[in-house]
Amino acid sequence: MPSTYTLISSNVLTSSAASVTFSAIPSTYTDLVLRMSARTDSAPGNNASYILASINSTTTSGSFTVLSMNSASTAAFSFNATANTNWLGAANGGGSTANTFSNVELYLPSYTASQNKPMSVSSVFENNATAIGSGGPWGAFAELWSNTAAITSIAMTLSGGYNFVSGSSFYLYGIKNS
Amino acid sequence: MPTTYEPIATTTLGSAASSITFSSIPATYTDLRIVFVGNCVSASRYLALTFNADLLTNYSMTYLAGDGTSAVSSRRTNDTVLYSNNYSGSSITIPQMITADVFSYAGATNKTTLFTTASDKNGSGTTDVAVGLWRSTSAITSIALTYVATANIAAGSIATLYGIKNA
Amino acid sequence: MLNSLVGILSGGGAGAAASSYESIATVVGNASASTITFSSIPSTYVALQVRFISRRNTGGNASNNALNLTFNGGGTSIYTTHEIQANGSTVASRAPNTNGNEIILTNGTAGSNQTANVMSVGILDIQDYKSTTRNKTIRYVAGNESNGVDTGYFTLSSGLYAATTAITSITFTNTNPFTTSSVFSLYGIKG
Repeated sequence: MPSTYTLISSNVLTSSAASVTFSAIPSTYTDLVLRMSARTDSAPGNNASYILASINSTTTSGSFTVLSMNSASTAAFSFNATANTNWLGAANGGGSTANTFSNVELYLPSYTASQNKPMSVSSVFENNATAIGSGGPWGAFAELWSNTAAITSIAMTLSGGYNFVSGSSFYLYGIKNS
Repeated sequence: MPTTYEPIATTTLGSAASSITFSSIPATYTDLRIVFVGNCVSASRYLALTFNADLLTNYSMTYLAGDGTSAVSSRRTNDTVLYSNNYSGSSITIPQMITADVFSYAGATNKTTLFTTASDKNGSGTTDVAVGLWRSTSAITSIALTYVATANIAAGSIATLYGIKNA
Repeated sequence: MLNSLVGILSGGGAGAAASSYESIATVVGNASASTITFSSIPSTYVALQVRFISRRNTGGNASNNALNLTFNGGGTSIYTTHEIQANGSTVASRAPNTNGNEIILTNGTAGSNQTANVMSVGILDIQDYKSTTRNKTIRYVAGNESNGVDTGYFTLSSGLYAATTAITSITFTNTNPFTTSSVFSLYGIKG
């Protein structure tokens, strides 16, 4: 019996990069899991950036609902967006604690099914201060890719046009349900 | 001997059905994980779990949801099923995904489950997390998935039960 | 069209591909120790996950109890925690500590005077735990539910271990001994 939880591909950056792409994703699994840990080269005033995902090279089929927090002194909040890339979570920004990278997991079930694709993201980043910082990519995300095609590629960039720094890591796993 | 993370059973609905049931669940794992992707034939319904066909008021849950505007929390008690979420519910046309992690399902304590629901509806919808309780010290041997208030699970919906085995 | 129900026999069988998700160790409470430690964690993975159920054997405090999380035997002023906690009525966002001596895992343990057999449950994820150039960020979810007898809670947290050393041990500390029904399981994820 094939393994249930299998590494498909990984990318650990040894130099900064504007994008990270998983392409030619095989259709032999049921679900995908993407585990990421990232940091950007953003300006000192920026604590975090969003990891943006273009699925199958589309940029307007994504929508999402976010539950998030910024600091202990402001209330948890929520927002949503449509006609977008998908927002897959956080990368620590240049303004956050040095040598600190985010911790993100995307679960994408039934990625080859002929239906629109819901997915969930659990995303956190840390900053050694009471406030995590503005931007909001900390928390739980409900994502939707409104496209019935099988997913064959995921290309990730950063909000603000920043780069992923060296050491940022990305691991794509396939989950097989039988 | 089971491997650490493996599928126990999976169901894909070729036609709408009132429930998806996993039965004869072996006691050989530590935790269970259910991954569901699908729709309900009616809007604003909530996917719920029933353990061992227990339909008494032995279920409760506390949830946290982001509804696109604010973060909200509420609770359900003395239910006859275990709600996975309880805010905006299902869509007829847009599938949702729900994961349920059932801890120590074969142990002698009450059974606690952590839920995640991703139900974005392209301009509305919610992201939900919840903790649920089945007040029973019996080992879980069956799990039924239904939508409440009663409505069929739509054709094309998929549910998979995984077992996770510790060292 | 018929529904498709596939039951899969347990067991990897001959010739199974190697799994990326492996169990490493399990520690069960013994009603006398207030700490649970995983030590000599191998460096063969890229991520660790701990899944647990937990309750105090003594010490009261109904439902909103925390565990303290430390790595590599401790460390002073190198831990920070942030969280969202929901209690069935309100949602709070907090920074339980900054520059502290532990990561605070809110709702990490049920109290000894809660309804019998009610447990807290949680999942802790640590990515790139063996890095020697990066601090460690943990992701944590936990819940405690008791049908309204005590306040139920769901907590989503992040934690910072500001140390660029590989994690070789993980310690969960309770204020009172863990029950014998408390189980902590460590898993490794390969990359």
